[in-house]
Amino acid sequence: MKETPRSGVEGYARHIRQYIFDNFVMSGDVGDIPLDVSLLQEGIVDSYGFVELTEWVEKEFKISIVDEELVPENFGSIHRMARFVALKRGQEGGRSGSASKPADPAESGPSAPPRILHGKEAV
Amino acid sequence: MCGIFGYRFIPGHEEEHRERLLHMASVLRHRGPDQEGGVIDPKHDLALGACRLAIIDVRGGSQPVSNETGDIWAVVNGEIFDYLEHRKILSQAGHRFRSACDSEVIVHAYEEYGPDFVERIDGQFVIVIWDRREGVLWLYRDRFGICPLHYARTPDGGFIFGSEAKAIFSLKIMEPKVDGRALDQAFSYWTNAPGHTCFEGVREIRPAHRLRLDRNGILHEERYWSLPESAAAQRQSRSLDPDDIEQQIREEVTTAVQSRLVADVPVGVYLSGGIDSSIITLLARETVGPDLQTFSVEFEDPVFDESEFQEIVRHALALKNHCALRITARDIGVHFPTAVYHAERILFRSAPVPLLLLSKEVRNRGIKVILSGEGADEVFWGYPLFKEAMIRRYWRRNPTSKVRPRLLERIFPFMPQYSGRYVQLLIESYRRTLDYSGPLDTHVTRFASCAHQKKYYAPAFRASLHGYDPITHLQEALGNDLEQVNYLQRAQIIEQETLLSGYLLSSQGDRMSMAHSVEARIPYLKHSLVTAAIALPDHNKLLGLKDKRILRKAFGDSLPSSIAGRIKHPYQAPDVKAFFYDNGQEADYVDELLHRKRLEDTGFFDPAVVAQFLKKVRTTPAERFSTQDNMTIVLLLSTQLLALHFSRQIERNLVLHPSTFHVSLLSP
Repeated sequence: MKETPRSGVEGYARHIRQYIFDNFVMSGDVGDIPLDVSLLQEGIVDSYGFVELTEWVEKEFKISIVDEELVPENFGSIHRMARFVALKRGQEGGRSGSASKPADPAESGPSAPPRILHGKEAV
Repeated sequence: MCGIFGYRFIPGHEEEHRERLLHMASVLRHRGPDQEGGVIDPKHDLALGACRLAIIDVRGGSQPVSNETGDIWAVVNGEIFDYLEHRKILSQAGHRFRSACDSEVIVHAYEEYGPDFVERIDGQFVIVIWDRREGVLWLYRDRFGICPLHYARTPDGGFIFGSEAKAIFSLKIMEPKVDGRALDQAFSYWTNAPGHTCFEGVREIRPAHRLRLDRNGILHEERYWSLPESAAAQRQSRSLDPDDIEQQIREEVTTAVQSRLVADVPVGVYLSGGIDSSIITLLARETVGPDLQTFSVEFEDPVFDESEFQEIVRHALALKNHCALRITARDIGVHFPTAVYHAERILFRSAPVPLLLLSKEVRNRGIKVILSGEGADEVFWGYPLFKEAMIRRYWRRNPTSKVRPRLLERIFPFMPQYSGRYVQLLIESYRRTLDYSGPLDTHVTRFASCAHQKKYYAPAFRASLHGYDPITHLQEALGNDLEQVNYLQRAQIIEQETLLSGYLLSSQGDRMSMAHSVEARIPYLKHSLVTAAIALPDHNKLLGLKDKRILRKAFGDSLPSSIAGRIKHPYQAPDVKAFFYDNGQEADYVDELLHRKRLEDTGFFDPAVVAQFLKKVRTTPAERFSTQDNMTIVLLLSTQLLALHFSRQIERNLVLHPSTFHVSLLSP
């Protein structure tokens, strides 16, 4: 059964990982897909795959992503994507400013702060 | 062109030899329906045969041909374009000719110059010479592999050859079995490693090589021509004056086209609407006039269709006989199994199929010979791959640059991931291979992209490869050539040895045109032209992101500016869409070939992973199929077709024509 998107970074991460497994990895075990490495650098998803993936993220999580947000800081790993989704959903739900705090305590690798654009200010 | 075949060291009575030749002829008849014949030399356990497509000296030039005394015999597939010059010289040297055909020149040239005669000829060919005096069989393939030759050894020491592998299997000494390593090669770089085929035990002569089968049955492979060496020699005498260069290339291309128009039957042109085929059309039109027959493929799907540009050329050159064949995705699905039967290779794109359908149309209109623009993108560096290699190198010198990698956006403008929106993620994916610096570094992006396809391997199949690495294999096969040249020339040589020879000239070229007895001639691969071009300073080909500069400069003024300045539009066709239709229907063989049971029969692919893929394509809207998905479906279906259906397809084509097959029997 398909997992439904749950709130919370961990829930988003699991949901994104399942999508990546179903559409790109396909073989092995979904749990083997690492959460904190760059999918692009590891070659898990290719560059066109990211076109599919980002379109799916927009639709699935009902967020809209502007060009400047399509950067490794937001899409470099599954956890980064999940954190980005959480921030966007928070933002679009009326909250803002949570970008400064790492939303995912489980993240261990070297990380850069997510880049989220608030209207025109960050261009 | 023709189909040629034969064997040595396989004993038998006269009737058995005859029967074998009839079998081999029957599966190659599509290559040459005009005349069939053979020669049997029972004393040497040898037989040669040919199915001839008559183009020069239509009545007189039957095959096999022999010299005056009958101790040298040849079968020839292809054309010797400078045969008239050789004929004149050889006649003066005392050789007597029975026909006006180019093939007959071969036996006399061999007599006169010995086995190195091949270095003197300009052509696209496979030549097999039986020298009775020495008991030696010689097999030659042209410098770029335009014409094919497959061969195999039997367990008893026999040697069998044929233009296509099906001729070898028609003898039923060997079964067609898909070779696991060959599959791994195709899933690594779209083609087989040089000299390899998809079938266990079957090899190809590499381009620019010859084989010598000595009287003791030992096979020797030798290269008779090398592009890097020819280029080095050419560089000694080249002029660096821009006007001289322009003049030289204009003359080379013009001569190449003119020499490829030589025939005793009408010659047509394949016009894609790109600059390369437009130049050929322009030059052929100058010789033939406005009645020149031109042929194009049009696609129902605007993503692939280039008819707008074909129309511009047709109009600008006032061509009166243009034939455009409109292709739908379903046409491709319907004819795909036939295309795989002819290609005898694992395919990664469906694009050969429209050319299979086009050659039928060409033949229906009474044309046997066409000129094709293949080769120009390798010779003049027109492929995006060359630009990509250049950008990677430029970026690597300053890896922290924000600006340099952004040039990548401009090389594949037709691919969404290269558009501005995704550029930062694109750069991230390129960064992964930025440090790679082996001799195949120009192709590392392709290797990385192909590697995604290996997820479909069944675990047992993967294990059976025992860590075999097709990329190391390729690197070893290309060896020295890659050390003698700069990185863009290296990219050219790798392209020629892989995609050009192993797909464009074969699966998409010779095999698709010859399926309907149409010979494709390739002017841009005239070797003097290729040598002149590779010896030019690089900026004549690629400068910044401007490609094929010298070609555009030499001929741009004679073509409409929308053609002369056009960027590369890759010739491709619908892939997933050819098999999965909007209304939920599918090509009728998809389910059968990719069924769990059939996958288990062949053992190459993991049924669960293939099922997941099928689920994905069946639920994805047609316009969302990715490059990888398109590649996957063609790789899977073509592999399964070769493994499961090829043998039966050969069986169905075994229709013997004993009454029209003429055999010469050599006395002991």
